Amino acid sequence: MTANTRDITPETLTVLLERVAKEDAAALRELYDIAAPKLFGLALRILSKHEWAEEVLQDSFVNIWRFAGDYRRGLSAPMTWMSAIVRNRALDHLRRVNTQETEWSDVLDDLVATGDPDPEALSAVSLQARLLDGCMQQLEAAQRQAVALAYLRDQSHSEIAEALSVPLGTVKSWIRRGLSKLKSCLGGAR
Amino acid sequence: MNLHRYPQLADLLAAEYALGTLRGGARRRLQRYAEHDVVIRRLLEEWQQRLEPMAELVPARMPSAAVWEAIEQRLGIAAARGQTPERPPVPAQAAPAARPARGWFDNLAFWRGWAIGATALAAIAVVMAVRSLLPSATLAPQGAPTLAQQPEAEVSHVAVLNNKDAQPVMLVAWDEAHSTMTLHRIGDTQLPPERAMQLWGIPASGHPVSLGMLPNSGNGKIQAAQQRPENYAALAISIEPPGGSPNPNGPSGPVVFSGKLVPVS
Repeated sequence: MTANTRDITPETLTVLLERVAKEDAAALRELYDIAAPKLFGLALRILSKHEWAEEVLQDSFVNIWRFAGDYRRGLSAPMTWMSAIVRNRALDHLRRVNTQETEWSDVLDDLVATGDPDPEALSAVSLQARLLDGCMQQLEAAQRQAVALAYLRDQSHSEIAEALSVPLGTVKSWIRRGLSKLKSCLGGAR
Repeated sequence: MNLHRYPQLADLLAAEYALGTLRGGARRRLQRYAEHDVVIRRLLEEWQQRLEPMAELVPARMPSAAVWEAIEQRLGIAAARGQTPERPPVPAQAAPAARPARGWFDNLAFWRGWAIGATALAAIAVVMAVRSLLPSATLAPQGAPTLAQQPEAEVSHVAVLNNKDAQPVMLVAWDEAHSTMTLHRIGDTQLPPERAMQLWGIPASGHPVSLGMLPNSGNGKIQAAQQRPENYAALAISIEPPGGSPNPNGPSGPVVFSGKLVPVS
């Protein structure tokens, strides 16, 4: 049966990835059950459109299957590794379609919401992500928003300025200050 | 320019490179630097490692079942599983008589692929087996004091929910006229003990909609309220924190059972 979600740790995911590298289809299914909602959330956040996000999720798991052998446990947490694949696929998709079509609607608010993270949802999340989450929450809302838009949506300074209806210079300084705060916040933990 | 003389600038450029806001010529120049300069390369890598986990901070959402099936098909791993569960014997002769089975599973793209072989055939068999039981089950409440002129209970839609090994676990009979869903456990699969479970309607497109929390035993009724079965292509059950998913737009925990919702004509 499905693993107890409380027991899901990065180690669980690492073991699954290593089995996937040996072409263990059942392991891919388990990995999918655990990670797909999180990864789909990411794809949907970047792409806004359901069909696109599902296409990207599909592509990503095909890539995870093919490249699981490249995963190195020392280099990044498994969730980070898979998220990077999904983000890259999604940004790639975004560049290939007309980006004007997509809307960054309610997403903005969600993204910067700092409500209590669901402990079960967080269990599969890497330690690094939890640390980053804590540091992101220490940024001012506008800085957090600008940094998140830039990274998750691959938006330029001027695109962000337009999205948030603020001058370009303001966005640049939000990002600069946001990044510098992130660095000092994360610095001690590294 | 020798970036080493301006460590703060170098760090900022590396940060904006990793974030993606360093663009055009400036981006290419920094990339060329990094190719030859181990210090700059380290800065880039550090920033990439700092920011990379941001992708994990996005709230989870449930993809539709079609995604996994497409993955299986593309990788050709469906057959390799060799775990096709034993199907309940399908009364082949009875199928066309009881229900126009062909129509629905040919038309819905939702469950295309390997799963149709295993789950839909099992589903037909189970639906037919259980169907004879349904009238008594859904009529039972009428033994209790009822409102005058209560129309006869009738099942308008059913779903057989399978676990991920494609074994049927639960039958959901949706009585649209009375806005009630009746849940019957089937088979001897154990439900996850002492976990809150939530029933979801999965539309053909768009996000899942909560249809309510399951009774503890897995048997019983859920009020459908304003929900209409026509709006959903499938039902699914997820494990959730007590009280249900904190995300209004979908499960937060793993989906453990799912199955197509089909009209009973």
